[in-house]
Amino acid sequence: MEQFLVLFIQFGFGIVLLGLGFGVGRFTEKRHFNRLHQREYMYKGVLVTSLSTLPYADQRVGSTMVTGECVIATDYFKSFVTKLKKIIGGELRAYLSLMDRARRESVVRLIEQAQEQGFDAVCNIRFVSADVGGSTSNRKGAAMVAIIASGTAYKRNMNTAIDEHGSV
Amino acid sequence: MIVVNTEIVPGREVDQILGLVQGNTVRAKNVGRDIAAGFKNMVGGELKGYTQLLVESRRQSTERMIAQANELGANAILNVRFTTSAVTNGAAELYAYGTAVTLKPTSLGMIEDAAPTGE
Repeated sequence: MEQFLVLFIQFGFGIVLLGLGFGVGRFTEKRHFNRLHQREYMYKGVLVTSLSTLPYADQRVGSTMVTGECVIATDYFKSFVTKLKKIIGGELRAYLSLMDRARRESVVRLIEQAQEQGFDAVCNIRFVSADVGGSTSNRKGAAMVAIIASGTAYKRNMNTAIDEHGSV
Repeated sequence: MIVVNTEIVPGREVDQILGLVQGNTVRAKNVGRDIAAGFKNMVGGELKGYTQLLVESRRQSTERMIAQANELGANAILNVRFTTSAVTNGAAELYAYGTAVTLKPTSLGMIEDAAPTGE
C-alpha cells in the first residue's frame, strides 16, 4: 500500500497533467479552429495579399498600417510528445497546428482592425515571430508562439470586380 | 502622419526622402503574467497577458519611430518593418523602422483623408 502511494505521488501527478493537457488542449484547439474558420468566412470579402503594389486601390482614399498580435502556448501533452519525438527527430506535427493557429489568429485580428477603420483590403502582409518569454523552450515544456502580423489597409476601387484568389 | 508598410500611398507621391527612422523598446514580462502563463502551459491556449504585452511594445516602438519622423518634419513613414530579438532570458526587444518622407497629392488628388493611424 505504502509503495503504491509513493508510486502514485511520483507518476500520478504527471499522468493527470498529461490527461488534462490532452483533453482540454484538444478541446480548446478544436474550438479555436472552428472560431477561426467562422471569422475567416465572415471576412472573405476583404482582399488580403502579400503584394506591395496595392492591387485595385482607390486613389482617392489613403492607406494606413494595421497589425495583429497573438501569443499561443502548447499544452502539457503536446510538449511531452515532442520531447519523445526529439529523440528520433523528424517533423514535430504537434507544434505545426500551434504555429498555424497563431498566424491565422493574428491575420484575422489585423483584418478586424482594418474593417473597424473602414478599409476593405489589406496588402503587403508580413509576419514576425516575437519571443516574449526569452528563449521559449528552456523552461520545463513551456513552448509558446508569438506572432506579429503587419500589413497596409486601403480602400478598394468599387469598379473592379473581386475574384476568388487573394481573399481569405 | 501616414504610416504604411508599402512603398506607395494611393493618391500621393513622394516629394522628399528624409531618411531612416527607428524606434525600439525592450520589455520584460512580469511575475503575475508568468504564473498565469505557467498554468496555461498545462492546457494550452492563448496567453492573453503576453498578447497584451506584445501589443503594448509594438505601440511603444511605433510611437518612438513616429516621434523621430516628426522631428525630421516628415508627414509619412513608408515601408515600415518590425523585427524582434531576445536580449536576455525573459526580455525581448521589438524594433520598428521605416523611411521618413514628405508626400504630396498626385494629380488625381486626395478627396478624403485616410483614417488616423493607430487605434
